[in-house]
Amino acid sequence: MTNDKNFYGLLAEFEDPTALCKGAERVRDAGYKNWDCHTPFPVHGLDDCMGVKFTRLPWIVLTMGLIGLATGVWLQWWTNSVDYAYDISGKPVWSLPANVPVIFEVTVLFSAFTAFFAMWGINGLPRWYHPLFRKNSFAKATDDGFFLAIEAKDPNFALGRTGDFLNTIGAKQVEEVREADEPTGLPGNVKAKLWITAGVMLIPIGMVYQTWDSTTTQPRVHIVKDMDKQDRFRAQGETSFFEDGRMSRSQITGTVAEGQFYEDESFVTGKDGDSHIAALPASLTVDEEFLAEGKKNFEIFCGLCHGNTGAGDGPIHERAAMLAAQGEAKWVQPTDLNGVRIVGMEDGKIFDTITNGLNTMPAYGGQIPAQKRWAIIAYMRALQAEYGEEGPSADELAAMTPVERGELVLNQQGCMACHTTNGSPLVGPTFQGYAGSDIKLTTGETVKGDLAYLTESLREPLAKTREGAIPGAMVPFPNITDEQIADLFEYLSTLK
Amino acid sequence: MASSAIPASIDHEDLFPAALVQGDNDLHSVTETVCGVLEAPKPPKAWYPIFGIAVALLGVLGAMIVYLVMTGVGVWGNNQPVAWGWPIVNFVFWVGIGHAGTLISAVLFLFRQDWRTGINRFAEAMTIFAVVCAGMFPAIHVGRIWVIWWVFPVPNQMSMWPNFRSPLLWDVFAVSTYFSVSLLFWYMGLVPDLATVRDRAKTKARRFWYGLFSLGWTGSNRHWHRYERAYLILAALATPLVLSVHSVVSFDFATSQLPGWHTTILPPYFVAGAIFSGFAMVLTLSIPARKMFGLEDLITARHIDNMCKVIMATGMMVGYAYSMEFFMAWYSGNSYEGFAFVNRAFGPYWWGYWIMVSCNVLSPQIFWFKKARKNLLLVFIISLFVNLGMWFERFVIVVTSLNRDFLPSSWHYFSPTWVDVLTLLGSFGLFFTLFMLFCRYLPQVAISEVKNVMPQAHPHLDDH
Amino acid sequence: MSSHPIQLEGDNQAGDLSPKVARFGLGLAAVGLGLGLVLGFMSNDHDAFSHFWFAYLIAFCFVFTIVLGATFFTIVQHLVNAHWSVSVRRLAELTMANIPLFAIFALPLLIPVLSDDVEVWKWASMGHGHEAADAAETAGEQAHAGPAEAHDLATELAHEEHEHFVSAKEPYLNRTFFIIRLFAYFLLWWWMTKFFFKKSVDQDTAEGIAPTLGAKKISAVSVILFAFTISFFSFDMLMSLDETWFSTIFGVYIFAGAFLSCVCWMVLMSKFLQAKGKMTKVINDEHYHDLGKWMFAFTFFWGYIAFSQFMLIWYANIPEETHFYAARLTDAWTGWTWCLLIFHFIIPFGGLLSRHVKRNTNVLKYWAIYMLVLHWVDIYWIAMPNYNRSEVGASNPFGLMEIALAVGMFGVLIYGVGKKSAKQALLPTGDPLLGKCLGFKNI
Repeated sequence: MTNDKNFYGLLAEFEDPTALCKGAERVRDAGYKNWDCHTPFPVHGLDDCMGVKFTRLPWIVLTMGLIGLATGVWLQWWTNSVDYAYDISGKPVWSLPANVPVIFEVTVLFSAFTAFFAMWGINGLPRWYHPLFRKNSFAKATDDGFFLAIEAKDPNFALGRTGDFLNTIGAKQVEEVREADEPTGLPGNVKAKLWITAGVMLIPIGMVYQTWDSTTTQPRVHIVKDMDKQDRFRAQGETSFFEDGRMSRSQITGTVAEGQFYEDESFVTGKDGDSHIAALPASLTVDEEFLAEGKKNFEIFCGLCHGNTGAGDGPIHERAAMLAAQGEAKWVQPTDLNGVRIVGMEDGKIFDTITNGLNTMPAYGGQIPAQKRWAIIAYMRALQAEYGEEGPSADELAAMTPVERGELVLNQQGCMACHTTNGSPLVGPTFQGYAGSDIKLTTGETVKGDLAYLTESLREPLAKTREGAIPGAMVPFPNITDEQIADLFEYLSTLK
Repeated sequence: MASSAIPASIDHEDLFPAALVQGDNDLHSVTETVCGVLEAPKPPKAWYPIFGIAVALLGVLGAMIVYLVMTGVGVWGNNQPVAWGWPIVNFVFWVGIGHAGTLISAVLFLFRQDWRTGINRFAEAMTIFAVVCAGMFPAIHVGRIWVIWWVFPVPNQMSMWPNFRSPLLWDVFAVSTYFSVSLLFWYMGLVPDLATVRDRAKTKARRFWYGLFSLGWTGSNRHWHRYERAYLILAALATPLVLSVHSVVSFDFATSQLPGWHTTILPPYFVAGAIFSGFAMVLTLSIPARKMFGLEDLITARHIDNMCKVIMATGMMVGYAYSMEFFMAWYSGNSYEGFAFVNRAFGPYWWGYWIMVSCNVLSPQIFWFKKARKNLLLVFIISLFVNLGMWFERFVIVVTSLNRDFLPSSWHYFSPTWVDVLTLLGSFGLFFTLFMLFCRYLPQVAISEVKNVMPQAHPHLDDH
Repeated sequence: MSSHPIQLEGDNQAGDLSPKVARFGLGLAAVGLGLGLVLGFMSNDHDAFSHFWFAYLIAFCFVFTIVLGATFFTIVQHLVNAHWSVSVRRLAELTMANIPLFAIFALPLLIPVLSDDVEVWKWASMGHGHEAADAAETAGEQAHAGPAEAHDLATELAHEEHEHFVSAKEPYLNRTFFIIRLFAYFLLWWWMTKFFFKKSVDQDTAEGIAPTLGAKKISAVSVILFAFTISFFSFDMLMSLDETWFSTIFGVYIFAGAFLSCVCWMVLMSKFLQAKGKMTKVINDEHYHDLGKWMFAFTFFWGYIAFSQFMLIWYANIPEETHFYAARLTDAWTGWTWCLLIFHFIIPFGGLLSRHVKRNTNVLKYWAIYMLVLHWVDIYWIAMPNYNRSEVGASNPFGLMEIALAVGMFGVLIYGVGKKSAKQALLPTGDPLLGKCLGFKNI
């Protein structure tokens, strides 16, 4: 030990690796603790001579490797099968063989980073300054010099004795090493520059974070023309290219597109003249195979909304209803296909609906061939035979009061899909207080909510539009009888 | 009992090869030789034109990328059914080249092949630059390069995650892991050498920059101990990593059901091919470089000889895979598979197939002769052939498998556009720009590792 | 330039251990194979004959792949001038020198090839017993003219497809060519092993290093020939058991198992010899460490190859190939497949990772035995599901017979090695690299 605070220790240079190893053995045996050898390359055998303990690095790497393994498994399991489980070509969302490559890569990545950073960490590097760097002769330690340094803080250290000892074990030259008097850290201005650089580097990160956290109604900035800004013709768009200014072109009169000629027109329209046909076209035979085809297509195209039994409770409905309950969406429940209205509907009308869509239901004519649409209807009828509702018989109806009958009409016709009776508007206005109320129209006129207006609304909904309503949202109900409308009005009159 | 004496001294260059460091060199002169290159006030004359051409090509690459991004991938020849054209050919080509460095550093280290020390720095640098070139191609191939970050599992505004079941995503992980680990490995090897340069620095700027990146290395033996252990661990990790990277690249093809792509030998076949092309590129670079920078004592005829042998061996493995594929295509009895292979050899791209076979399998056969391995010009030419052949191998795999798909009406003869050609040339510009900068500013040979295999480095401790 | 003269210490001759080992091996072979044969005869399995031949084939391939692994080991050491392995190389050479012995044990396999009654290589009887089978079928159809219409269309299509695949391969998979190939493989290997064995023994007493250089010269060509022969051998012996299945990587897969089991076998031989007081001074921890590294590396390599093969077939899911794994991932075979993954890869991977295990020879010894058992499981898993594969819910017929035959076949190897070890030292005493071999240290 020495009292000189700035005294670092003694640096001894040796002739070659052999001399250094022999010297190191002596230093080790003399019981020194704070000492080290410095060589331009790892001298093999020197570890034993110095008595260096085997490093614990492999265990650290192993631990982190196992953590990497777990991370690889967890990352893929959580992202692909929990947080965002999506179906791709019917592959299972969690299938271990397909996850092996990424698990392996993540394991290697963790292990390699650990090996690298832990090695420097345990070595106490990076370190910009070392007292030994103050010795010019020490520059040879990275070239062809072989050095041994004993620190003054070693309990065995005594300036004279240790110096003599180093000379006796074969040192070519022994030097005293002192710490620098001036501060050895980074100069103040470099430090400040580093801090400023770090601060500036944080700005883009902050901007990205801010963007994530905010919403905007503006479209994205397009650095270059992106796919959402392609030149294309939209169905209802305008163009100056064609004389009539429309993008869509209608079929040329008097032509039939290939494969679209049908002997029996009703097979593809569901109509005979202006009226819908009541039953399936005669060319079709309903047998088990036909129904099976219907079932398959029903479940592919219809079941998602209407439910596989037709009850109007498909998975899309369930999810949408859940979102609607949280106030995140507006949703009208899909029609119950087993309800009285649909049970009583002509096949042709159902066909028309599938083909061209209705209200929020899109048109499926382009996706499902006519034959299969009919098969779907046949299958729907089979479902109705199982689950279908039957309305009250004529005698029972006669026995009911007009108000009761009106309520029945309301429910059977599915009015409640868009309207309510409790005063809160849904898609359409509420029926509460409808009878006798003043209704403002888009034309500025005001009409009374009376039987005549109700009849007109049901027969020709486009004739008058209530202010604030979407034109065409209300569909015509041609099948409803005048008596039923009268009953309905009776019922609505009770809702004050 | 019977015991016999080992012959005392045998002189045979295969069994007891010549010293790794040739000439009249000691520890100090090795430092001088390597550091001399980057301490010289000016690089060798030949450096300027090469660097100039490389930078010009890099500019071409930049222009092509800008043109591509502004216009769309339609500027390339890719079109159905050849949806993967040159960009993916180039990607696999560069990734393959990027395998030699880590292989030399890691696998040869594990196999105790001391001769690797002369060329490993070189090869690792080449690896990193090749992987940079490789990574660029799939990135620009996506077309909308500004959303390329969607391939990483980073939360995005759509709350979506990448699909980990897709081989293309495995590729993202494999190539980026490989790049990171190779970079660490390379940098770790550089640290002691950067310290050497630091300690010899004459200017303040040099002292600062080399000092910064040498992390305060003092050559402490306690540090060396952990350093060597970490090096061994990294080597042990990098070895399966090298296998995995090109295997994963092969999965991009082989998990599909496309005849010509779907074959189980593809992973090891791709790995062998990668090593093959990587070593060829090391030769292509090191033969001129050792001359240009006066490193002939460190990268000796023995190094070249060994690399030729590796090329021959891996070329043979690739040949094995070619023949197994052909045999199985017939043996499977699957007519699509059979057609795909007949189409390769005798279809519209027959020339590509035969360029591949003659460059990859036939041309290295000349290395059976020691004379050929000693003739530097010949070795250089063969290495160019192998590079060419390996590019064509990827071309054959990608294009001939796709251009005649299951539907004859969509058969299509693929031709590259001028953008394809200039992008490939430009990628060479990127590669050589980085490489020439490396040659100028970093130690090209691992100084401390070379010293370690010199006879002077071994302590003679009789009692041990 | 070269090594210091080193005086070899210790007892490096097999001496009277050789006949003892040979006697033991012979006994083991007689008991094992005899018991297997008896069990085969006594079996009341519905197709006992085929079952026996399957079990015999598995036992044969299990042990013979060790011999092939040793052949490759020897050649490749010459090719790369390896010095670490010199002191254990003779052990591999003693193993590979048994090619002719195993050729004799391969001869019985001609019975299942040539017999129409044994269904091991089903393609063999398909080609020849064809007319007879057709005739029988026609007769059957005539007898049951009525239900002929009820013939399942799907089955018929599958059958036709199968026929197509098999007939497409007939130029390759037929009895004559198969036997010719088998003879060619064995002839080539016999020549190769004889050559390398002779060169190695010659070097023991030679003045110069001419024999070593001679071996080196041929090694490169030999490796290429070996690569092709072991691939086609594995296609013929094991892959063609399922005549419709194919996988380009299969040869590499079998090679990985062969090399791995050969290294395990060498560890066991070294430990045995050292326990008997032989080779104690020439095989040290460093050599075991390196052998252990090879065990570890090839456990990993086997896993890599096995995974590549599985992954590609599983992912693409093409019926022509995927049935191989479908069969092994259903019913009785699921457990074996998982067993391979866990016990042939995951557990030894973890177990052999540490350098302490590789340097602790008493532990390493048990890992070697363990891996050899798993190598047998691997071969069994490849071959046996082909027996009774046409039955629905086919069971796993594993029993005492399989064990007896495998043990018996192992006895043959022990006998062969015992016999071969009598005449020369247990290590190549004259090898120029021996000095380097005894002196090196792992970092």
